[in-house]
Amino acid sequence: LHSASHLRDELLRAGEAEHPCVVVDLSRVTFIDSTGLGVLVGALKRVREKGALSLVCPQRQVRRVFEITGLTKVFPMFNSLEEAVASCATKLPGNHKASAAPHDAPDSEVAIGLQSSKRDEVQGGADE
Amino acid sequence: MTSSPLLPVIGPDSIVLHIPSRPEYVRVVRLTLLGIASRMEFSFDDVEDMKLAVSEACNNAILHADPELADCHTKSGAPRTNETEGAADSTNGASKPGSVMVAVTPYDNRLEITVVDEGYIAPPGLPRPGVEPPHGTDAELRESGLGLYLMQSLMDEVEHQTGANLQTVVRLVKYLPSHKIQGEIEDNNDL
Repeated sequence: LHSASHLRDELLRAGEAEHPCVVVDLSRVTFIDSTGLGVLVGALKRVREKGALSLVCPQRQVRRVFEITGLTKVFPMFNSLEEAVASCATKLPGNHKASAAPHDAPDSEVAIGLQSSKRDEVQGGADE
Repeated sequence: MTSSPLLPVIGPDSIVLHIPSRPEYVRVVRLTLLGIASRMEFSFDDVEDMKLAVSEACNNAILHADPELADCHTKSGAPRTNETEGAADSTNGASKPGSVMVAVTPYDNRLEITVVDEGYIAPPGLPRPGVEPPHGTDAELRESGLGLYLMQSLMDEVEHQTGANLQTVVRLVKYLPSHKIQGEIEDNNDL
């Protein structure tokens, strides 16, 4: 509930592009609960009509929460940022691959890295 | 579910925390639980499961007590009304943000965690988080309501009860790996 609102705001901003390609990097996230999952599901629902969303999720404990809730079936999940970005770009609707190219639409590809120590948990009760 | 009231069991070995009913304190509960569970014969995964389950119970307790957070959580976007304020004030003098009590009791064969909130003061019409199925199909994707499902998936026993005062008690039990079968047999005998 605490860090979730920051993430929600970031994802809202990222999804504003015409054909958003949103990659959420959870590689430094050590804990995620249903609130964090809910924020990601909300972002996926907003983005998928016109763009794509992928997750970078190499942490076993975090991935396990997605597995228990059946969300591995709806989120494209990858072990590295490169794979996630590549997948996301190819999934843009209507062959809008080009929109992920920086010179074409600089704001359409957004990788959100939760990398600061303040963001190592996406959850109901947060750090800091 | 039994009709007798679900009361937190607090014994001589219990560790009892009272945290302010605010999200940033749930981490304190997780760390405390980690400290206690690590001293028992639980696996790393079991400890992680319990940390997630107790976080969900605490989140629910905090959401129940705070209409603003609940609004934000469900994304209903409904502004907080004066009626809401009135309801909060009339509840119990509404010592906002209130507190959540967590009792952790180690036994020879299990760890029991009880989470008690201060009562539900969210406005009428806002549903309490309840049991929800996991995400089946794309069309059913939900953004909230996974908390109780997660608790039930992660723990061996989950009981919850809301009293007449709208105070909710959640009891979570995890058996030690060596006692898991015994716990299941006891469950069956109870039925």
